[in-house]
Amino acid sequence: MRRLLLIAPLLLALSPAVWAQDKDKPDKPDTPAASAEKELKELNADFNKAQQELYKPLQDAKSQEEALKIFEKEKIGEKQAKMIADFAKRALAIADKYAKEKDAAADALIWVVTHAESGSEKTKAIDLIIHDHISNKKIETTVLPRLVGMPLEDNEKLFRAVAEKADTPDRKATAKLQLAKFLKSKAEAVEQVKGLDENTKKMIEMRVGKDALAKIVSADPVKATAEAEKLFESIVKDADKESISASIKANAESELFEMQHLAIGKQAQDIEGEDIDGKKFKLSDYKGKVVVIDFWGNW
Amino acid sequence: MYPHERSLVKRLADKPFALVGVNSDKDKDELKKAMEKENITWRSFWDGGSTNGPIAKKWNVHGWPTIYVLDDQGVIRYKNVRGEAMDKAVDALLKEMEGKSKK
Repeated sequence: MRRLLLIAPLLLALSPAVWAQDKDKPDKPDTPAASAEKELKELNADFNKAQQELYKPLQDAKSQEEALKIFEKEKIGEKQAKMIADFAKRALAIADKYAKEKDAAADALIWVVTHAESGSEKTKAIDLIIHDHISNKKIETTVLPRLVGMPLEDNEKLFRAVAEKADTPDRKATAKLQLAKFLKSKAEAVEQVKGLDENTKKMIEMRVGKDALAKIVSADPVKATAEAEKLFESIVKDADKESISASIKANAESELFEMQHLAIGKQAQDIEGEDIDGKKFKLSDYKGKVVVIDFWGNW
Repeated sequence: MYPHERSLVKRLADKPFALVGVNSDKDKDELKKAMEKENITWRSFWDGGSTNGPIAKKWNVHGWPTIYVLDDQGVIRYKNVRGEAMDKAVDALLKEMEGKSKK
């Protein structure tokens, strides 16, 4: 699943549902907030069009290899990077122009953060969000869930800032949960990226940038995993003292259990049960043997 | 899926190796018939007739098939390796065991 998250933005056109939602609203008089919203909507429409145009040559590709060949021949990677940077600049300009309209400015910055994977525009947008919009609810509800599987440096800065600055126990727990999941995916990405075939790796490299990908691979998975585990633990512990919604606690507990009992390198918990004929047996009966456990169904 | 696992079990019949299933089917009789037909010889835990059974729940299994590979000490060494990758993982662990016993 997480592997998909890392690759998905490349293979699918980004279709930001967030932006489509507002379309049915009636036209408002041109308050600054309304103009800002309009400009951002236009930007988004232009972006979708430009993106479609850019990916057009790929439509006929019958395999990933073929797609990659077209990708290289048409220099889609380079064009894509430039296109995203250009639109990000435009969104930053909107955020700047409407800096007083906090929600509108935040929306423009969010556009940058959720569309650009790396680059100076992304860094700038993240810094501005941390500085001016950290308590905007959309950061937790929209932005972080989308970035949780993208273990990039700028994203990490945002996750940490939100966790640090959250102002209620519930928000703090949510932010810590998201940071922990981000760190977990950061740790997993190291091996995942190493295991990718060359073509997929190239495509991701074009999307996130060579340096950013190198950083993903050179991260310390042990350190990231340890920090994630500590965060999950502290959420569960805090939940007993403060009022934190049950689902957050349950989520952290399940993650913690997985890290402590179901992760590679951990002693497997025993299974005791009955076989199909009703005869009792245990997983530990097989100690001393290499065992493949296969969760299966005949469907 | 089955042919691959069948050949793995057959190939490693005289090695310290076991394939253990955890089955989440609804209907036991249907399952027995299918196992006979597909020549599924390895033992499976019956997980209560649902995908929400106690074993799958305890192992956080949300997708099928889910694979865990344990070494001879019962330590989880690989997850969700399929096809050839599963063979490679098992072979590597068997080799590791042989290495240890020689020392």
